[in-house]
Amino acid sequence: MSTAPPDRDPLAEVRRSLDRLALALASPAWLFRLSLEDRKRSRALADQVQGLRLEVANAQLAAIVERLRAGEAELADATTGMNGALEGVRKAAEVFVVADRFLGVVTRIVRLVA
Amino acid sequence: MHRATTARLRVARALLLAAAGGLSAACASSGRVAQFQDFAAAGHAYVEALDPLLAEAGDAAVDADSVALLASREEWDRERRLERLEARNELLRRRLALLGDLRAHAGALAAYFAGLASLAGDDAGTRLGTALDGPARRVASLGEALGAADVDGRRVGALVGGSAELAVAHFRARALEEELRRRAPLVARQLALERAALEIVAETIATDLELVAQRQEAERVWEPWLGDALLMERDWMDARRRALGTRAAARSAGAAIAAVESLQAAFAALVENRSTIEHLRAFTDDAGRVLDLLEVLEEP
Repeated sequence: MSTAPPDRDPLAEVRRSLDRLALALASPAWLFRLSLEDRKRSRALADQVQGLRLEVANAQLAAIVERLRAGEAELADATTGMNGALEGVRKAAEVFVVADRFLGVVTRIVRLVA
Repeated sequence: MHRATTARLRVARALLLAAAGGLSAACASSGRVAQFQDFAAAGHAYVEALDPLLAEAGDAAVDADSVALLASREEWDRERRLERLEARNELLRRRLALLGDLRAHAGALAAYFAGLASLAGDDAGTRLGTALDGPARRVASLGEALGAADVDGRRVGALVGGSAELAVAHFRARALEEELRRRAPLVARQLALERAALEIVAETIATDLELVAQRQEAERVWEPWLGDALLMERDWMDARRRALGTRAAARSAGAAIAAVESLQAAFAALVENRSTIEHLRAFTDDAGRVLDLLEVLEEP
């Protein structure tokens, strides 16, 4: 059985690139080498990148959540189905109680015959 | 900052330990039903660990965004600040709703795993065991009574065919196999989607936590270090240790992806009836690393 992810999402690399860019722009080692003016520009750019990070990750998550929702009803059915199967196992247990009583009768007969 | 409660983490840790404990029993019995019980326990532990992780992901997203807004606030006039805050709040509301959807889905998955555990006898087993206690004991004593007896040339023991418990275990195993036959593709698909979602959540939370830590490091470590003002050495050392520690911990968020991959592998092994102790041990190790991260983040 394959355990691979369902699809390769083309947005994944975009999101990762934005993550790397956000980290680079906010890196103290980078910021404190810049002039005050360039530092402000870097922070403004980092803010714009942050907005894009949110948008892209939201779009990716929304697509997955939509597919998860489609399976949720099936999952609920499966859970209900298992409860039915559990009931079947309980009934089997009851059958064995009856069988035990029957065998009790057989034991007495066997003892009588012996 | 962190909503993941210690109590919830404790439950997840206990479940993980229980799943790990079950491994030794499974190893000893290597029974098919035990494989289902172990997988169901691992699934339950996964869902319990996932919930605080998703809560933390929401907090980290808001904090990272606040850090970016605050850092650039001086660049914008009042009108632009208004627009930016509105737009970003909307994006964050959407993010929190999506994380809420993932948590709801985890709830559906938890209900499925609980059903599987019941069917495998982890929960209902106790009730069934009680119901069967009397009959099973009587059947056992019957076996002794019938030891030497024959009916029509057949040993009566052969007619009984073992204890009622064993027979019920057979029905249970058949019900589990039937469940697996019908639902394996659905569960595999759901786990694959969970993995895809967790990849985004784990990678994003790692970046968000690191962005917040970077900001704190800039303010509390770099600025005082580079400035001419008197440095409070003890405070500076503490701030530096915390900043570097958080950044290192943030990178371990990837363990969440490894945990769901281990669970996928354990499920594939269950379906193919080749479960070994290693499949679930990999899962408990990975999930344990996720809990370690969450506990680090819980620390004040």
